[in-house]
Parts: sequence; C-alpha cells; structure tokens
Amino acid sequence: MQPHDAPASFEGTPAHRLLKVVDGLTFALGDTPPERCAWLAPGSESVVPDLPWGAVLTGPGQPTGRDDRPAIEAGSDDSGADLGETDALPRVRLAHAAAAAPGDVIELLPERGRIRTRYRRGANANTLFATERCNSFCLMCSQPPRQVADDWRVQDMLDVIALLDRDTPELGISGGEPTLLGDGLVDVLRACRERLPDTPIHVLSNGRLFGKTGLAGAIAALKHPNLTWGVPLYADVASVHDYVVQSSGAFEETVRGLLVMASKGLSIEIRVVLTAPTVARLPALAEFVYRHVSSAVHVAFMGLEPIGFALANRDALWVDPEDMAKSLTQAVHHLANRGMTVSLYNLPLCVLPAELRPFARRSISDWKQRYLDACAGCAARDACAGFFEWVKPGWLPRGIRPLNAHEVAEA
Amino acid sequence: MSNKDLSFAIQHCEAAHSVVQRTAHRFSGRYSLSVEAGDGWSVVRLIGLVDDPERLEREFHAALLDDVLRARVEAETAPLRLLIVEAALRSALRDPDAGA
Amino acid sequence: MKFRPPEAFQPPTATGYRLLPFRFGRLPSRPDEVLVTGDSGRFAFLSDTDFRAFANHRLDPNATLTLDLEGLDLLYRGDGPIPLDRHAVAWRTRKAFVLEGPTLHIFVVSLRCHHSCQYCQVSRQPEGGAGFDMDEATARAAVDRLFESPARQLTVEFQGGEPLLAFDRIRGIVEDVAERNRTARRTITFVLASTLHGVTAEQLAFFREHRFELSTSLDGPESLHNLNRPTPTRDSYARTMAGVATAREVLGNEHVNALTTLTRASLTHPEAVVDHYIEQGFSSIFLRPLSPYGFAKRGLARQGYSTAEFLAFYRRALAYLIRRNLEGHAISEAYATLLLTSILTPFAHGYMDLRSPAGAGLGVLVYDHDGKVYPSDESRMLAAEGDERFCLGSVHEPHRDLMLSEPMQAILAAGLTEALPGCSDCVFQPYCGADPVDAYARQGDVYGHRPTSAFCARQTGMFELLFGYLREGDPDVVRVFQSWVRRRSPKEMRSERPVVFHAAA
Repeated sequence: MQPHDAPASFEGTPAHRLLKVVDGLTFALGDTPPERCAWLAPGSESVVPDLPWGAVLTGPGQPTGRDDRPAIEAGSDDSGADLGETDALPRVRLAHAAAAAPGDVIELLPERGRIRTRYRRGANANTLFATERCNSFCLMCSQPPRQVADDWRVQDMLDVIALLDRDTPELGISGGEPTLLGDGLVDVLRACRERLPDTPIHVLSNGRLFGKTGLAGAIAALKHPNLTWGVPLYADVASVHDYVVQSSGAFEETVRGLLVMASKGLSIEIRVVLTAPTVARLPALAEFVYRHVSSAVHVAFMGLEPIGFALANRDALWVDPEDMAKSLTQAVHHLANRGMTVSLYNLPLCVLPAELRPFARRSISDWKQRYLDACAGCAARDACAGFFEWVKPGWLPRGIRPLNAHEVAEA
Repeated sequence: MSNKDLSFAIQHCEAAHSVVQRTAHRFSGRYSLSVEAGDGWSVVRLIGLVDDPERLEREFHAALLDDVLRARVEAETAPLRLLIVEAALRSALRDPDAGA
Repeated sequence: MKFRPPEAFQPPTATGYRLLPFRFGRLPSRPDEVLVTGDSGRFAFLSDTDFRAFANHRLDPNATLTLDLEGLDLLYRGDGPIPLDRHAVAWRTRKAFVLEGPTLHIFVVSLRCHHSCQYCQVSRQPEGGAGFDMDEATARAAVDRLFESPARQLTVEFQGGEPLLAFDRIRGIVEDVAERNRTARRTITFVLASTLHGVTAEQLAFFREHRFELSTSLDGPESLHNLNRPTPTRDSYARTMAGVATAREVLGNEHVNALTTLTRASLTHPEAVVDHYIEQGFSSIFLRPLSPYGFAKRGLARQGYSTAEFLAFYRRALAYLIRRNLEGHAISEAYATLLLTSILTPFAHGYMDLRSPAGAGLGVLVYDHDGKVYPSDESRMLAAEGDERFCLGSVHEPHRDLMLSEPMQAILAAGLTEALPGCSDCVFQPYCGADPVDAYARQGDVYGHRPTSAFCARQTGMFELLFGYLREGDPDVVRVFQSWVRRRSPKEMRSERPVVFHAAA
C-alpha cells in the first residue's frame, strides 16, 4: 500500500525532502519550523510570507512567484518583504491542485518529477511503511515483499512522525513485516508515544518474532497508551495457515508470538482474510481464537483484496461472499456471543446476510475505494465499504445490488 | 433365577491385572468384589444378587475394553501431560530472552 | 515467486499423529458415540468407529476429522517436539485460582437465629442465647488472616445463625477491613447471607454504602417456603419477601440474590419453584440439593431424597427454565451456569466445592464465632455436631500454620481429581472437582468411594444432562446457555450452532 504519488515540476533543490504542507493557520497552530514546511500558496494573488520555507507549493496555472511576480500595489504591506529572498526558495508546481493540502506531509521527488503524500490530513487511514521485507509470503499478499536492506526506513519514519499533526486521529504501521526492524520499531513507537501521545497506533504484524526475541518485553516497557497489533491467523491448524502464508512453521510461531504478546499485556487484534482455505475452517478458527487468544480486543474478518500476489492465486483463494455466508455467520456469531468485538471489512453490505450487516465497516481507505454502476440508488452507500479501486471481473461478488431504505432500516 | 455370585477369568494378554482391578472398582458400588491374580489370569468374583450373569459379564467386558484403551492412552500421553503441567506451573511461557 | 500447493505444508502421511492427553466416556442416551475431553476442557463427540480409529492412530492424517481434532488440541501431526506453550497456557488458565490463595473468607458472626428450619445446615442457637457471637479480638484476628491471602480480589461473607442479629460486629469488621485496605489496596466484595427478616433501613444504608451483595434463602411459593422454614410466628415467607423488597429498593435488584434448599416437598413442584422466582423478579435461581450436615441430617428421613429423585427434579426444572427463558424471562440456573462456564469457556468457574485442587482451605476459609478456623462451611457443620477433625486451628495462628495443620494435609492428599480413583480417568474430570470434607461426611473417609458416592452420581447426572443438550445442538437451547454464561439476556445472544460432533467424512 504505497501512498499516492502526484506529478509536479520543480525549481531549485530542496534541502529537506520531507515537508509539512502549511497555510497560515496550519503553520500558526503547529510546531514545525519553516525549513520543514512547504508553504501552500492559496491563490494567484498571494504573497509568500518571508520565512525560510523548505519549499513553496503552487497549483497548476498559478504563478510560482518567481517569473510571474504579483504586482506590488500601492499601500501593500512592504515590511521588509524582499522578493529577492523568496526567489531563493525551492518551488514546486503541482499538476493537480488537490495533490497537497495543509496538514499533509509530502516527500519531494524532484528526480522523478513527483511528490509523494506520506500523510494526508483527514484521510480515513494513514500508514507508515516500515519495510519491504517479510518472513511470510502470503498467497494474497497486497505488498509483495522484497529482500532489501531498508533499515533506513526507521529514520524516514521518525522524520515523518516529527511532521505529523499532533491531533492525528490514528496512525498505522505496516510493511512487509515491521518487527524485522527490531529495535528500530521500538524507536518508532517511542517517538509516537512522545510526539503523538493521544494518537492510537495500529501495527500490522504476523507476530512470529515475538516468540523468539525480547521484542514484546521492550515494547511493553514503552507503556504506549494506545497501541494495538493486528495479527493475521488463517486457520486453527498449522497445515492450512502455513499454506496460506507459504511458510512452514509460521502457525506455531504466530501462535507462540500471540501468547507472548498476551502475557506482556500487548493489545491484540486478530485479522482473518477470507480466502477459500480459511473459509473452509472458519467456525473452528473462531473457537480457536476464543480459546487461545481470549484477550484479543477485536477480530476482523476481511474480504480479499484483488491486488499483489492474490492476482496470481485467484483460483486457490476466491470465495464468493454468498458461498461463505453460512460459515461467516457462524464464526461471527460464535465470537460475538462470547463477548469479543467483531468487524467485517472490505465486504459490501448487499452481499452480506442481513444479520451480519451490523458488523460491517466502511473499511477501504478513501484513496483506493469506489462504488460501481450497479450501486446506483443504493440507500446504504454511505455506510458501505464498497469496492477496491482495482476490482475487476473474477473478483466481483455475484449478488451486488442496491439496497432499499427498508432493508437499511432493519440493520 | 438369581445367582448369588458370578465369577470369570480374564487372561493377562487381554488385560493387565491392574486394569482388571480398575474395571472391577467401577462395579464395587453394586457388588462386593474380589480380584485375584493367577498365573497369566485374573479371576474376578462379583458377590451379590446377580439377575442376569451373562449380561453382567458382557457389561464387565465392555467396560474392561474401554479401560484397556484408557491404560494405553495414559501410557502414551502421561509424559506429555507431565511436561504440560510442569510448564504451566513453572511459568506458562519461557521468556524468549532466555533462549530456547 | 513460486507458490507451493497445500500438500507441501502437510506433514508426511507416514508420520501419522501423536495423541495429546484426553479422557473419554459415553452418555447413556448415546451409547454409539464417544465423548472425548481434553485437559484444557475442549471436547468432541465421535462415532464409536471414528473414536477407535482416532485412539489407535488409524485416522488419515489429512482427513477433515483429523484436522478438527488437531484444532481441538486432541492430537498433533507435525514431526519434531510438540509445541506445548498453548497447552500449558490453557491448563494454567483453568487452574489460575491455585495461584491466588484463599479468595472467600467467611465470618460466622453469630449462631443465634429466629428460625428452626428442619434442614438447617447451620446449627443455630436461640435468638436470645448468650455466648454465641464473635468477639472483637476474634474479629480482628480474622481480618489479619484475610489480608495474609495474596489474592487481589477477596470476598468477605457474613454468615450465622442470622448474622443481622450481630450487626454491630459486621459493621466493626467492615470498617476494620476498609481501613486496612487503604494500604492493602485489594478489591473486596462484601456478602451477607441472611433471611433478611427485620432488616432495618440503617442496616441497608450501611450495606449500600459498602456495596454489599445480599443472599437469602427462598425455597419457592409461600406454602412451600413456610413448610420448610418454620418460625414461631409462621410467617417466614412474608418476612423474607418484605426484607427482599426493602433490600431491593435500597441496593437494587441485581444485588439481592436467592438460593433454594430443596426438600422432598420441593421436588414435586419444579415449575412452581421456577415460576415463583420469576414472579418475584429474580434473575438467577440456585437449585441446591439438601446437604447431610447439621440439623439437616436429623430430618433426612422425612426431608431427604435420593440422587435419582433430585436428578429427575432437576431435569424437569432445567427444561422448564429453558422454556421460560425462550418466552422472554432472563433467569439463569446458577449451578448449570457454573458447569457450562467450565465446559464452554477457557476459564474455571471458581466454585469452591467443585475444584481440583479442592477449594476447602485453599480457596475458602471459615472463621467461626469462637475463633476456630475451618476449611469450609461443611467442616464447621461437622464440628457443631461434635466432630472437630477438620478444624485447622485458631484464628490467632498465622495462615502458614493453618495450612500446615494435619486436617489441611489430609484435604490436600485427597483433594486432586487428577489422582483420585474413579475421578482421574473420568470423562468429566476437567470440569469437576474434589470435596474431601463431603466425602468424609457422607462416606467416612476423605478420599471417598466414587461408585457409591451421591456427590459423584449427582455430578455425573448433571454433566450427562448438559452434554446431552450440547450434543443435540438445539440453537435455542445453546443461545440460552450462552446467555447464562455471559450473564446477558437470551435476546442479546445471536443464533449459533457449534459443531460438537465430528465425523471422518
């Protein structure tokens, strides 16, 4: 899940590649020095405040202020504003005005003529990317791993964290397998606790290293006030789980990791991607989770994302939601009856049995979500997860249809 | 016709003496019993009002078969049970820092 | 990237599988099936044929049944050493109470009582009697013993006679406990076991201030209750209900609970007993059979009944309770709830009389009015009848000495179902418990004799009944059972049909 890139043209060389996008209000309310900010010129007539900005951003068709200076009108504030100074600032012209907004954290990539959004204020999901490495190779991996030495990402994440809004509503950390960063991950979590103490952090991890290293203890010692670990579990037996993650021994390591995490008081969420091999044993998995991870704060059953490795393994993985309805209902009810919090992600409401709709969430990140023509007139749209941007034939459930108001009220 | 007591023999190849004792114990609420070990045999005597001796003997043998299986399963799994309980009481999870 | 097929992750067929510790047995209602129970409480019903294949290592290692049993922690298919962590954690979770020390501390503040119940377990003294109340020195020493327990959650229960007759002592103890708890910082629950006759507003205000749970005896409709519980004024029922009503007003319904004691007269009226509890607004009923203790023993001939009679009553009562729940009345049966908690959750139920190791002395301590300490209510009853063998010592002795006493050693030696004949290989062992004091009282020695034990017969009957329901799998019944275990209304439970029967196909 790499964040969005957008085309841009550059003038001058920025000293810092990671910048916080600011307007007057954001700058005034924030604590980021101007060298680390990208001033977003709000309009063609605007004056860039005289500060050593990391860069000045403009939209398409706007004067950059360098070769198209705004006319200086009589009586305008001329208090030491030296246009010669602002001339020296790096300039970035965005191809689309909406590519950056105040509060965002962007990465300037002049060598590629692009900017990359590392954090989008107001998005329903923001994630830090920890590493491309992984110790599993799931059949449906949406971020196919690469064996690269990317420990530099620790510092990169620390740099991004330094620029985030202090009131960031939530932050994810994902990869690859974040625990492969070892102490680096601990450093990142410490920085989150220090700079963003009120921001819930959600880390996706297979948990395998927690049973083999002292990592769980080191993380528990941080005493982060709101840290949850999303750990996938795909069966109640090793042979099926190991097959799905394509790694022998993975199940035993993950289960042991979960036990260690629980014993150290780490907050656990169990994530279950709904593929054919997993759905075949779903109720048994539900009972396994209840018996062995009863302290889990949440269980998420997730519709399959048609991306990455999943595309190569469609025949082994795809189950139509209609065909999994009975098993899914059994598993969800089993856990809910035992006091566990359950959610359904990435499944449109129309293909779920009515009794499961209350568990469904609008889970797909804004920037990769869409609805279909078939959704026209649906009364449940606002509450529905919809589909992935890249959904295609072969990955569409059979029963897609607009729900009427009556059906929505029943939920 | 009710007999006063019922007596039968069980070969040790069918069931060890200790297993026969266990099965006999199950019936010790309904009858007085004796179980004696002989040369390759255990002799079981049930004393009391035995209405249907054939049925009782069948019942005993059915229970004995289950107990033979229990003894075998116990022999197979007792070491594991001990390890599990020891691990549970010592500390349920060995500290990963301490090494395997 | 080359993806490997499922076969690449299956253990080689030749390896077969290893058995994990389990016990097995059969329900009389299903002689062709075998119930298998693991040490952690997971269970499965198998056909006789499948069971034999399983136990004799003849199951196909890749069959669905084999995978099911592996997921249930009953076998293991990999080669190499079996990873024990989750089994150890599961076992430890069920036995967590062992590490807590005594959590229930019963203070017998007075033996005086206004009733003369034929089945009294309590060995009462008349209301005006002298010398039957706990004095201050004893009370303070008992509170010393209380805080010697390492448990973070403690329950202090006041019993008698009728403890309200010694209300000042109760107040003294509560205040002493509260004061010392300012440094000890435990979570302490106060319970009062009382007829609630004549409970005053002042007393209720005090109970409310300290968030007491009140427990009273209610045997059923008025005629039945008064028959069982005679008072000189013959109005026990009315006075109890009046006490209940006032108590509910001050403390709230949830904090006023009732127990029944079932006599021969009660047994013919299961529906009436249940309906009466529903009418009176109780959310829980504890169908408790008669104990062979105290004054109860004398009335046994007239009042008593066999285990078979009790089980017949209980079966009817449970079926009726389930029906009433489905009709919308959220009322649980407390004993079934304990057993179901043990069967359906990873946790132990916590009931003192049904633990292994036994709860007596290890989980509960009784401080009698005269300063003697007992490991359970029942052992105090025996002492009141003249048999002091279970007295652990004096309340002025430290906890350690009480635990090293001879009676405590006897309880420990006979207190593990894992090691008792008739229990160690019982299919219900993971959910049952040992009660050496009961064994001694009923059968003459602390080990007991399972084939003639009424305790065992009753437990077995109840487990067979509950497992019978679970095997049948009626979703409505399952929903009611889950609502009891979760302490919710059946309406809040969603339909489920857990698979308990596993087949090779």
